[in-house]
Amino acid sequence: MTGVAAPWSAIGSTASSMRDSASWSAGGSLARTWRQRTRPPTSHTAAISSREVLPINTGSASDIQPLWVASAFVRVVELSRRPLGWDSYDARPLQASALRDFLETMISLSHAIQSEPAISLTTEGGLMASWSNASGSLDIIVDPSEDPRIIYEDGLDGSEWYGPVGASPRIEKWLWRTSALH
Amino acid sequence: MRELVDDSSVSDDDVVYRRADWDKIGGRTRTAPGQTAKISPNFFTDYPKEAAELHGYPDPCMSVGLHSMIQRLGYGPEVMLEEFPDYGLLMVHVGDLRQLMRGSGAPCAQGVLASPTEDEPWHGVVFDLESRPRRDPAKKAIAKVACWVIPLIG
Repeated sequence: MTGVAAPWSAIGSTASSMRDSASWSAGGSLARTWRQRTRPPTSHTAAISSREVLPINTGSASDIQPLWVASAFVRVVELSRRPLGWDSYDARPLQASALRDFLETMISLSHAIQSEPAISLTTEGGLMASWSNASGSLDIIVDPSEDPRIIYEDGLDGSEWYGPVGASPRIEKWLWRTSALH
Repeated sequence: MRELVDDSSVSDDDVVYRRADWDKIGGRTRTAPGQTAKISPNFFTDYPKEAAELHGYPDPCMSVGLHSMIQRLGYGPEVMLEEFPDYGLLMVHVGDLRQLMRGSGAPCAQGVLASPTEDEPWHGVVFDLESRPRRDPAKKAIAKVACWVIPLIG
């Protein structure tokens, strides 16, 4: 499977050039943790193609990495290089604390993620991961000095849920559905 | 500081324009070649607080161009992209902003204020009348009533 060593190294090297080196070091450490934890349960591989069945995160010892992890990290490294005002409207560059919280959030939910998110910067210097398909759309938004939050819209009835990541009992199900490729 | 008050001199029939860039929608590679990019809620964010204050506003608000002012000066909306190649341009009707509703059906009305600057005499700002900075459901609601003038094409 695709290794993620190179992107993680890139995160580390970007980290060293940032002002808040301690937080970026924390990001590197979290990155390694993510690499270790983001392993689809090999005993449930049949469920990977299903939009409806959420696999149990067994934490089994496997070297398999989700295919989207490497390119997601490359994207984060790319975004970490954007300067102040990158959007033409005075947006802040990526903040170390937001990167750390983003990685923590993604680690905690990685077992429910089936495909690479669209990863964007926010004007506050945070990161946003987005998935969208016929079943709905889900954004995870991590801004500095704020709790990570999600906004989910059901593709069938248009209903919406908005709030802190930790406050949604159905986030894994929504994430599993909206990150399905088919 | 300029108080953020909905400006009655800006008609509901007016239009605001907002620049859009690839880094707010996951990068160019997320859009298939030749396809128009999706309109993301992330396009409709306020200035960060410190930037808003630098520009003379007491609270976060969103920078826009006002169609009526651009037209009065004899330009077209593309003037907003003159110094910004590789950007797209979105438009939203002022009336839609003032009557904005979240996906849940709850109102999230926005105010509009003409606020010309030396560099951009057509400049204005849009701000949430209740929550500043604007929260994500309101951004999503704006994205639903916005449309491309000059689209980002993959």
